[in-house]
Amino acid sequence: MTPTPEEVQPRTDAWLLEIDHLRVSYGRRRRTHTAVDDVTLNVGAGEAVGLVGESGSGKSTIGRAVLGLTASSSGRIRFEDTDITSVPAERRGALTADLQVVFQDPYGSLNPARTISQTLTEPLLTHRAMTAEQARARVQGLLDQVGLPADAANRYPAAFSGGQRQRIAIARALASNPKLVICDEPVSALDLSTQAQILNLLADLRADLGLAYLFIGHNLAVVRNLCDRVVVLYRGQVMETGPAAQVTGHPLHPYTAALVAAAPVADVAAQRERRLARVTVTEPLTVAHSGCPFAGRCPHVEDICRQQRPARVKVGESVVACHLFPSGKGDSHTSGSVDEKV
Amino acid sequence: MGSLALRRAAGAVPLLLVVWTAAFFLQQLIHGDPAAYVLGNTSTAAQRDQLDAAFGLHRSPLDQYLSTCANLLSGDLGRSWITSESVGRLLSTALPVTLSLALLSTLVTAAVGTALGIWAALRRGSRVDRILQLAAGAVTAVPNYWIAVGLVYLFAIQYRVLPATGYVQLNQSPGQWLQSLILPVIALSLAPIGPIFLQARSAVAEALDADYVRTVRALGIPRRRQVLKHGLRNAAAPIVTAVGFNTVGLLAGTVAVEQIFNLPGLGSQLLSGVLGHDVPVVQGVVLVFAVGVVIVNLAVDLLIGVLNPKARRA
Amino acid sequence: MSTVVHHADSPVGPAARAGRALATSPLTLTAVAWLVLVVLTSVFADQLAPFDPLTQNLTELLKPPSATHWLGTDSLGRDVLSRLMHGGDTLLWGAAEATAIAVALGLPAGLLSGYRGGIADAVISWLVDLTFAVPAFVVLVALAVIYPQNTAVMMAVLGVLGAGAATRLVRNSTRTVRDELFIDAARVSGLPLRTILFRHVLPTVVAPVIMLAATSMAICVIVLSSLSFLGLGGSPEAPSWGQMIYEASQNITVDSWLLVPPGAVLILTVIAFNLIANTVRDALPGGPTPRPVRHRRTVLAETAAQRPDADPQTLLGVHGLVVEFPSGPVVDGVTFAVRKGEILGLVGESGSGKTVTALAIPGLLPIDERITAGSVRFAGEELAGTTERRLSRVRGRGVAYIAQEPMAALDPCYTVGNQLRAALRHFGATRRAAAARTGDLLREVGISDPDRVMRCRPHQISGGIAQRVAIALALTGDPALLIADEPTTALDVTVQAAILDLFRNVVATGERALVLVSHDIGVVADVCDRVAVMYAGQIVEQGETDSVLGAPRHPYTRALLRSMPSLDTAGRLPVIPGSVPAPDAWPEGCRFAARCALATDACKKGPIPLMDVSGPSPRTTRCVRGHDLAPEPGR
Repeated sequence: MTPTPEEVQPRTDAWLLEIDHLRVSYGRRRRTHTAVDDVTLNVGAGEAVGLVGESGSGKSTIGRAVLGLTASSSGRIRFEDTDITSVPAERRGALTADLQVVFQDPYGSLNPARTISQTLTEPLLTHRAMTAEQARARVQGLLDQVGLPADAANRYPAAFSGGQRQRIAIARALASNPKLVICDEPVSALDLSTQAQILNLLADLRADLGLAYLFIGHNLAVVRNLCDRVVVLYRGQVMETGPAAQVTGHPLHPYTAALVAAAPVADVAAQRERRLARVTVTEPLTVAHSGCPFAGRCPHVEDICRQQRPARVKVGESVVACHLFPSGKGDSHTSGSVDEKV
Repeated sequence: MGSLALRRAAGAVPLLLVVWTAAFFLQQLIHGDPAAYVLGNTSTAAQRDQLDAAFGLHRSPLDQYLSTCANLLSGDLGRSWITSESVGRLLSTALPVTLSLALLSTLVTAAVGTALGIWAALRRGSRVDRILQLAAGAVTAVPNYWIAVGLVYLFAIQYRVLPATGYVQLNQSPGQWLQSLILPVIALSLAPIGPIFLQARSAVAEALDADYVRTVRALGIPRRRQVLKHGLRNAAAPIVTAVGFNTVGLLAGTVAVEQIFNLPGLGSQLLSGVLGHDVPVVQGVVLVFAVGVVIVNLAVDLLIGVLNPKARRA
Repeated sequence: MSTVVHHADSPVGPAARAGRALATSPLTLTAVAWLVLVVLTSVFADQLAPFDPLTQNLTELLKPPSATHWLGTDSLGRDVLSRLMHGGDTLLWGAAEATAIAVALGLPAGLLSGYRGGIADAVISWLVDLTFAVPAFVVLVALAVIYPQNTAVMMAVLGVLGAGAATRLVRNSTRTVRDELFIDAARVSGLPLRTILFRHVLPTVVAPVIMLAATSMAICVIVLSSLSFLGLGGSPEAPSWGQMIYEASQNITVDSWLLVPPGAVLILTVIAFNLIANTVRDALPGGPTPRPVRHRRTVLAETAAQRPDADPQTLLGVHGLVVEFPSGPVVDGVTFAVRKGEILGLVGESGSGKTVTALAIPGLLPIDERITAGSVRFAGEELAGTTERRLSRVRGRGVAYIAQEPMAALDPCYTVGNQLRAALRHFGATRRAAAARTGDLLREVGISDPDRVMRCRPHQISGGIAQRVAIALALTGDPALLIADEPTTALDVTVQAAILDLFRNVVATGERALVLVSHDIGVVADVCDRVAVMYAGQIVEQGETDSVLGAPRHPYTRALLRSMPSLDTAGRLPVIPGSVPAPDAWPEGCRFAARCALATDACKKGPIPLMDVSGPSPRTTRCVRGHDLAPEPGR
């Protein structure tokens, strides 16, 4: 029994965030660099979607485009049926309350010259008509929610460790009661023992508040831990999308497989097996500009991979863009290409 | 590289045009009759008419501007209102003096500042380093004209080892040429050595702290090579910027220093032009100095282009 | 669950920090006091000066300092002190005028240009370039041809020209702030532009502007005094410092003293302005960090140094190593050994001291960190406390070091080939041999196109290739021991796997050993034969990798392993509460006790020694309950 396309990609109006054929390019004319190349993905209400990729995959750029911090070149971004593609953050008005962010760098994301209380009340006093007294009470509530002591409010960011600052950044994101939080590598700069604390906090908040996350990360295990669905990116393009357990447990795309195989596990015997089984993907000196972006490193590469960009094919619950899965010959389903555009 | 040089040089043209235009319209700011201004109130109407006629001062400002621009294109900077001498000839005799002074001073500041900077960077935190840093701050505050007068007193009056004033051309006697420039060059160089030293010290120190120097240190490569091949090479760009910036300041300093040492350079021409209300000479000097600044900035840009590894392609 | 880290001085904004720096440096306070004195005497010169500055006294010409004339008299018998007091007025006002104009124009232009970018930035930058191309002093002198002695006009022109520098400074500071994440966060909060500019951008620009204003005052004072020295600035009637120096120069053959008072006052005033500027600049973020303290080389206890090497297979023996920062120890009694053909992992979180330990072995610690106790024996030679000269003989040939950031570890100014050849030549290869070996080395580290990579500069290659080049560089001296500090942390995971394979090959000959520093337990599991787990400056557990990871005998190791997310499961993770203590907060007893689920009173009593818990293989743990932690079944 395979799901129909509607079950994987339900009705449009159910989505909180829809990204359609998004393209983001930097530079002009000959020096153009396309950071995000025809990316389509959706986040449902209360859903946690992981965006995984290595450096240069464009994962953070997608987040910044959604937040209105980076201009898109083409494509469409819709939040709750409102087109926000070319609306910079400053002009989003009340909508900014619903769409918040936690950045990677806990040191750069807090103004060192402002107290925690000043930082947390900023979004409160901007859009909600709150009295100073109400705002103070709300700050205490937020600090409690993220597990910080009440006396943190009057301190400056320098008094806190990386993990504590990340809690403050989360509190700021929560201040306006958002529906979707873009988490841009929120635990990448943290130590292992702190990382687990923050991941648990994010999971608890999601359960308590019904938040949706677009969780950007490079560590598959971290993403697997927190997310329902995973989108795998490579050089600005989506390689594979599917349920988290499916993508990490049974990767379809050779790049996803390489990513899963390369992540070392802390068990010597298991890691030895993984190492012997893995196919080393080399680093090419040049990148081909047509065809599949992974062709230069792929162990299964064929001529067609270098010439033609693979179509997105639905295989089981996943969608994969790879010539190993030709459209029309999907796993068992005959829906073929889920995308008319190649 | 060549194309960068051309582009930069082309970019400087409008800049010079603005400076030249501003310098020209300076004379329009004179209240009343320029001739009366030059000749003084005791002059007769006939004398003033003669000057007006000789220099076309009765024409409309635009008319005058266009004709001076046309003259400029053919290399003619006009004639002095006082002596009727060609400004171009006047300045071409003065230029070598100022050029010698500026070039020698630039060499001295660059060499001394960089050498001391490397020395201090290698001894960061030591007493010598701290003393040098304080001294650098102090010399920067000493006006060149004050130190010039002091030098004249010490070496020319008190000890009589060097000439107090005057200039000997290089092709007449290189030894005396150098002697006549020693004191002026010291007076000009002292203050700029401070900032160049500080920049060299911090740039070299930063390079020596960088990972790539640790890499060669970890290979057992001798300290001298670490400093000269890797430290200095990576610090070169900021040092060149500092030297260029201070050369511009040093050019300005030649005005007072030439005056004190009685050197017949551009600065002396400028001052006598100013005091004699000889506007064409003043305009000419301003233009030559502007060209000088543009050339220094251009040279710095090009050197940085060569020195910055990321600007070059493999 | 979290505790707030208390800091001695609670941090404040850059402007306030600059203000505090001004108030706490005695030198700067003196400078401020001097300026106050100069300004007050200038303003109240009429009331304070003992004589009229213009009254000539032909009976008292060129007198030396005396009780009546504290600083003597000049060639017309005028009182020098009185002239000095009257001489600062126009100078300081003129300088203030020019500075005010420069700031008033530069601040808004710089903010606009820096925050908005685009066309505004291009136009403003062109205008700024224009001001930099104008020979300002020459123009001021030239202006005197039209406006003789008109200080106000000259200073206005100087102010406009100086606005260029102010604009550039404000623009660059604004640019830096604009790229900060907290500005992005404010934008995402929907804050209007006005609020962002006033609340987040302007405060960070204030301190640089104060610095610029002080510098500008210093420059303007010199420029203006030069003009009056040349007889072009201010009325020739009113006394001014520059003019006094001119008069002194005319009388220099008769009386050189007259040069001193105006020169001294002028120079001190300029120094005072510069000092204030420097203090503010140093207090700015990115200013110089506190001066490094220079240590003398340590003479270490002979007992450790004379220990015989127990095992001829032992390549490196570190014993009781203590490394101190100026603030105190950060590595506290680390002991481990590495045998030939072995890969040892040093694993720990930030602040555990693993990187400092790695740097201490080949003597590559930064200038303000030093080994204060312990021994580092490499191939029978003591490296701790030895001279740089002896160390440099061991480095490269004996011990090689590979850094975390491959890009930063290669000199950006030279090609890959140049750097490799230079190293090979250093190790005695002929020019020809070095050229030939370079290609081979690059092939050995898995670079398929060595000729092309050789011609590249570091910024032209990818991080993975750069790390391969760095490894090749470390291999030029054919070292017996490699120390790699987080060599794969900056790399993508697929590249990391390949680099780890390369390390395995490099050690595979059996003659070489590798110490691999990492925070990633997975990396350690992948390549390391043995592992030493570090926490707060100490090794807390050491043994063969599979037994340490499979059955940890220290609660920290165990908790750390459990808190790792896995590819196979989701959901809440068991966490270690709290955070790693800072070196100045290390407790006397077990350093993990405050976060440990198994802690008892015995843990907090005093320093915990390493305990031998060897089973089939040697094993140590720094836990009083090490024996209680039975191997977990099934692992």
